[in-house]
Amino acid sequence: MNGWERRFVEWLIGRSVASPWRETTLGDLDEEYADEALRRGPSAARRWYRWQTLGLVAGAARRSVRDLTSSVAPFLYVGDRPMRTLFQEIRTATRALAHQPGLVLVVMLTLALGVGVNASTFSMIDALVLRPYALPNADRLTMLTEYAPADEERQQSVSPANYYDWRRQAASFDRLAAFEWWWANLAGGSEPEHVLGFQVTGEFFDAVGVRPALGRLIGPADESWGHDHVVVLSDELWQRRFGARADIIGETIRVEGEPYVVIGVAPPGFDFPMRAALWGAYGASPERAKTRDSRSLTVIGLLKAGTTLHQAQAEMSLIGRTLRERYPVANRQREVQVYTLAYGLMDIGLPSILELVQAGALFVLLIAGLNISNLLLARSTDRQREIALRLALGAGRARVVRQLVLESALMGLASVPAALGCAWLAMQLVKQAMPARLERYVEGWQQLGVDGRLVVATTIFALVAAVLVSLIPAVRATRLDPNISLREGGRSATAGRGRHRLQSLLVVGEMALVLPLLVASALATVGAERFGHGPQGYEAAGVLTLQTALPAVTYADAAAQRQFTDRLLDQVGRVPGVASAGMVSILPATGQNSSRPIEIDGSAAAHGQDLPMLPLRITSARYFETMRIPVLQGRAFTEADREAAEPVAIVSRAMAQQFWLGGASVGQRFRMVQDPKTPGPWLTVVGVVGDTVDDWFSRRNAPMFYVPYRQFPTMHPALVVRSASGDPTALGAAVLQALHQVDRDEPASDVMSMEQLLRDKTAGLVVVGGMMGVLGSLALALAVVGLYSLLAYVVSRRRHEIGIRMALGADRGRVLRLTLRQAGVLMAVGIAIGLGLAMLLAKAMEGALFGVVTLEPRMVVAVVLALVVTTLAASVVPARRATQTDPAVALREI
Amino acid sequence: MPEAPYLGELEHLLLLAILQLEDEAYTVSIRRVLAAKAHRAVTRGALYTSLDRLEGRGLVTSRLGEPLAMRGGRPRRYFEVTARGLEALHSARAALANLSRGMEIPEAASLRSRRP
Repeated sequence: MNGWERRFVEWLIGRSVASPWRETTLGDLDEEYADEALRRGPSAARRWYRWQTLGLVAGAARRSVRDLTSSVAPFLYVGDRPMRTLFQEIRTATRALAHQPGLVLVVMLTLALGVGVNASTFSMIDALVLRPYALPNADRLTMLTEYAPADEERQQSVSPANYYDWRRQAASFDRLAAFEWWWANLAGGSEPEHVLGFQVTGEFFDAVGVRPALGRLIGPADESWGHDHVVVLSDELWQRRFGARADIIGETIRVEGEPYVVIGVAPPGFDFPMRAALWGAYGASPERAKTRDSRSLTVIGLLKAGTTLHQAQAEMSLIGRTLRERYPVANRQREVQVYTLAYGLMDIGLPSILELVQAGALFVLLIAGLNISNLLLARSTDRQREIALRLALGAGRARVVRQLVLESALMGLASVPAALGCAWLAMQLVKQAMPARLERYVEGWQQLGVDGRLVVATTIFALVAAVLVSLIPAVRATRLDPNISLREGGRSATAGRGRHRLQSLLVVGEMALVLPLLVASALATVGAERFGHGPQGYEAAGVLTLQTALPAVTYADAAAQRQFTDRLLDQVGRVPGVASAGMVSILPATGQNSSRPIEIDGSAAAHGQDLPMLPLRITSARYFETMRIPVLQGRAFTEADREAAEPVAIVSRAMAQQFWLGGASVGQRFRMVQDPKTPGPWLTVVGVVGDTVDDWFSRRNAPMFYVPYRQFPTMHPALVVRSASGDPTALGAAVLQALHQVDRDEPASDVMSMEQLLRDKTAGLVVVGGMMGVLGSLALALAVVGLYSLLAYVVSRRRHEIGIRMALGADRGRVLRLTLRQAGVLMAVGIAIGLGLAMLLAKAMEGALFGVVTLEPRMVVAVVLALVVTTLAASVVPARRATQTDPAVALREI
Repeated sequence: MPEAPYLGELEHLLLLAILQLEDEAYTVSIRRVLAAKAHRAVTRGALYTSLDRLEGRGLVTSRLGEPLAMRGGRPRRYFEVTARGLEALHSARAALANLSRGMEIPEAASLRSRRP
């Protein structure tokens, strides 16, 4: 026997034999082993030794089980002996289920479907809303915002001076870091490119809790003004652009036209926030550090261990109030809000969309549950005799109910793997529907998948659902008089009336639930379709877009910026196949915006009073022509609207109507007032153009004004190019070449057709619309199956009655009508209730979500028709079977 | 004087074996005697448990011997019957004697011959 086996055996025996005997036992074994070896040879002795060990261990195991049962026994065998009874019941239930495999399969699949869709929506909410950030410190990270209750938008960035004050004063946080969007132009080496970067303060990396993969990360020392030209590369950027060279550390690269030293590489997979590729140090110049009225920073805080969000909020509210009192103008109405990171950075529209989907999934589960209830109810009629017998033999009603519920719970448990499969499949479909390019904008998308939390959630879902659906049938099944049921032997001319009514009620409930879900999914799909293809106020087809951002170093002054746009438009205009080209500071549907406070000439707005903020777009003369935005009054910009000419503006129709009586705005004046001390020049309105849809969620047909770029140069010119042939993507290469002729180092980002841009913008909604569509179809299918099985069951139960009717002279048409009438009544009642629910739901959706679609009568009629046709089709089969009843056979059956 | 303790069958055999072995009564030899003379193969666990029980009831005492090389340096556990153990044996023998006095136990073959 080798060493380890011996040690193992000794250990085993040590565990199995009480301590006073341990040594003796081992000694005995040794002594007898020697004997055995002498008599029968070593290998037999070894076998003997092992056998003896096994015997000892088995004996010990037997003893411990006996001890355990005898010590627990007093608790087990009190009264009704609950535990033993439970095991017994589980055994009985398993046996009962084994006798009806068909039923079990149907229930399990239905349940798996209902629970599966819920599991997938749960998983999405979990990954996208509850914990979208896979950061080491995610559970302690918070987001701090300056919040003005008067503003519409929930999230507000923070001004540098306020941030520095918070950092100095707040005690609730271990780290308080800030970062700023930095759409960085990387030049030198290969092709210039724009990458998503962030300028972060020195505490950023400590706050999120990551360590460098190479070199070092940005620290407090890098924040000092003048020493802040350092960058950290993401692993992805390092691999892709710098060939994963380790000697990149210390090298100087050109970002935004300026030299930056690479100090480190972030660990693989770290790309917070928003799939960042580059982090620069945020070093505020002395003036900038004092800025309190311009807000550009996002602030995150790492809560001290043991500090709650509530405590942090209390402290920050106090600090906010002090700062408001000290700087009443800049911090007017500003309050400090502390959110969890996940909540603070969440897309505002996301939760309500996911809520909608979750509600849809719950509806599907409800309908599935009603189906199962109905099935169990029908089944319990067949088991009437068995149940009556149990009751007659003295089983308490509670026990029989428990038995039936237990059967259902077992089916629920068994359906978990299939439900997880369903959820996995659903998630794969959703993942495939989302373009890879856009995933970065959905925080947590990467984490979507089946994990431990999902398994637990699914199991709970399935168990609760299975128990709930079995309650009504179980209670109902046991409410019978054993006397009568036993005598009847489970057979009667017509099925019990009460039960029948209950089953019908369940089917009505299904119909009532399906309709709102169908309406909601129709609304969502139609809405998603209109987002992308509906009227936008401009003509997207045939337009190529391209975005640039000029580096501040080379394009510091207005003249250089103006010249860049001049030359770019000139070059692009020469490209063969270009019908027209225009420039705009912000493309529609990109989700970006820029607004200015404006003062209308002659309005009574007192000095310092709140001025309305209106979206501003800087455009070239031919922008409206290129986008085909109609000029309704006056004129578009012309080449004559130059820097020296009279400052002019064009307003959108909504703006004209909002600020000037009857929209007569041409010739009127207004000005931008960034700073009350130095208001901008008066702008004369020269034209009114049609409204455009800029953001489907919040800025649809919002008032907007346009100014010419020659009078207001921009650093972010975006190009729109209308193709003469109608295929904008064919122009891509030539337009890019034109751009590089103007500036070799100027990269272009997002060269794509306007239609593509729209599609990207609405991809999420299309996914949601698709999900709602799938949920709606599932619900419809389930409801149809439910109605079908009810009718089939009713027909089989009424065979005898139908036989009598036919024997008495009812013809087939009559019998057919009899069954169809029953289906029709159920449907009508269900639809009536469902319509009411649908209206309520549609109102909620219109208000909270899209606003693009209202519940049109057309849509309702279509949905109701679809429901009626499918359910009627489902009821025809059992109805026809009823007509084929042979009275002679049916009557003899009883 | 309290009534003499009752003996189970295995206990009875064990006490006899210990007496028989005199100074050499330890676990291995006890098992061997049982096997050889009473044709009883006792499992190790049952042996130890029964010996334990006998000791607990005060019918035997045990002591550990010297560590032995042939036992991997482990001692033997020797057993000795106590006075109370002897009492129990006497009372059990008396009971047997009382029950079988003046009686001849018939041969098994005689039962078979009486069968119809």
